[in-house]
Amino acid sequence: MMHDANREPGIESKQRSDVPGAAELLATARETLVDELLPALSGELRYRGLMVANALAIAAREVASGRDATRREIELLRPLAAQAVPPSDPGSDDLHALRRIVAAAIREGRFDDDAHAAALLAALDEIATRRLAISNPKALR
Amino acid sequence: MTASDIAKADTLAAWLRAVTDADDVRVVRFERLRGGAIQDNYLLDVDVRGGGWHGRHSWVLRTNARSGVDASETRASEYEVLRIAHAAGVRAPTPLLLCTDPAVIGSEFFIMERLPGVAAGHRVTRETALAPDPAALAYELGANLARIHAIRPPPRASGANGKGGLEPPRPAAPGASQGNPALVAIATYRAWVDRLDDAYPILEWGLRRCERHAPATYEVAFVHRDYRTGNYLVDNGRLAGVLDWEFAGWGDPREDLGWFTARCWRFARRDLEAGGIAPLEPFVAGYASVAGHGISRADLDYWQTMAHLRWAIIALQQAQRHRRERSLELALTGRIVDELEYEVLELTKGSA
Repeated sequence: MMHDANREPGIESKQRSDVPGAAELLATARETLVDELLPALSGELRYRGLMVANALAIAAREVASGRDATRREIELLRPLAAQAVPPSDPGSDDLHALRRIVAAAIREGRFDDDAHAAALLAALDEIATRRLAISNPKALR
Repeated sequence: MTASDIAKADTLAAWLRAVTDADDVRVVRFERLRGGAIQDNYLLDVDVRGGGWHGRHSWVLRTNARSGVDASETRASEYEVLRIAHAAGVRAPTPLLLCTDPAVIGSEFFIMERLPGVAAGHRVTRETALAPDPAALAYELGANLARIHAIRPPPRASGANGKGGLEPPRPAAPGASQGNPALVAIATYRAWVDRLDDAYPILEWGLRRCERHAPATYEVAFVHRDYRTGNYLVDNGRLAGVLDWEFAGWGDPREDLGWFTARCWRFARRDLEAGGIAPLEPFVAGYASVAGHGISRADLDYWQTMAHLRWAIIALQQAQRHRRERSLELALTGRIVDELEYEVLELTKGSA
């Protein structure tokens, strides 16, 4: 649901090399908005224009690195999920299923002890950092 | 005014004439204010002729937006909350009239005094002219919060209610919350998470951590639950009043201190812990001037973590609403969850 484009890793849109792809279109659209449209707007419309600019920036960063972030999240959650459930469900690539397994295990207290918590935190930290680098890199510390 | 707002203004005038016992009521201005994700607020100016309300009035009318968020209370309950807070000396708009008949304007509503000032968080934290003495403003905000917390539940009721409003605090649930407001809140947040589509390991980590480190001792008081920059009016550098009482209820007063100081509510000034307007000290000093005590660093970190968790889950609920209502603002609210999760980890690292 969250990354429909990333659900089927085999299918990737390849734009012709002479023609702007999604990332370039988003960047150019944002430049047009910021340089040409926003200066003509004020008040409520300017506020809305800034929201559009922000949405375009997030989308551009997601096009650039969303796929890597998703792949890495799967890599990081898979071993944590494997600890949580018996190996009857090995190596699932469904990110939503992995999140669900790890989330439930955390709630049940299966990552409470220091060693498990440290491994969990290291993984969650990388996932959060990659996601924030897409949504709002200025908030990274 | 839209056609539907004009129709509302007409029925509203008739209702006002009846409840104020006036000869005539003219609605001079009825304008929707932007910014309410959950409630709709209207500027309402009226001319009342005759009766005890004779004269010109500048009011705010507050009603339900199209759909609510789980944590939100009804208008009737919010009206009662405002009445009690106002009676306790808290700076807040005076509540004036309540209408629980949905037939009048399509939904229940209440009318309150319109206070002067600026609330917008990005302005209050950026435009120094609005608060030339930010430490004094932070002190007032602290003292005002302590006045809210001085309101205590009726005797014999000792737990917290998770949802807000003035119903008596919920009795201790067997084996679960024991009436500890932190644990009641965690149970509530988990129930909210369980109604989302996806699962959230980082939020679960934060909730589990807060469950295991829940405060051993606590008090139960009246809490606002959205006491933060953006929800109070600043007029001539002073606190004019606190708005948005829809989440208020019984809880641990430290919840409000964590919410006010959490990084996610500092707007343009992330470095200023007291709501982006001042350092922590004057705010806590103002609080202590009324409450008789401040808050420990460990408690503040705990309740700031809880603040980020709660806001993250509410933001996810708002993102879900975007699916039904198509709003760029709601969609972008969903995207701040990444920052909130990052802060949950920043606040809980090293405590594993």
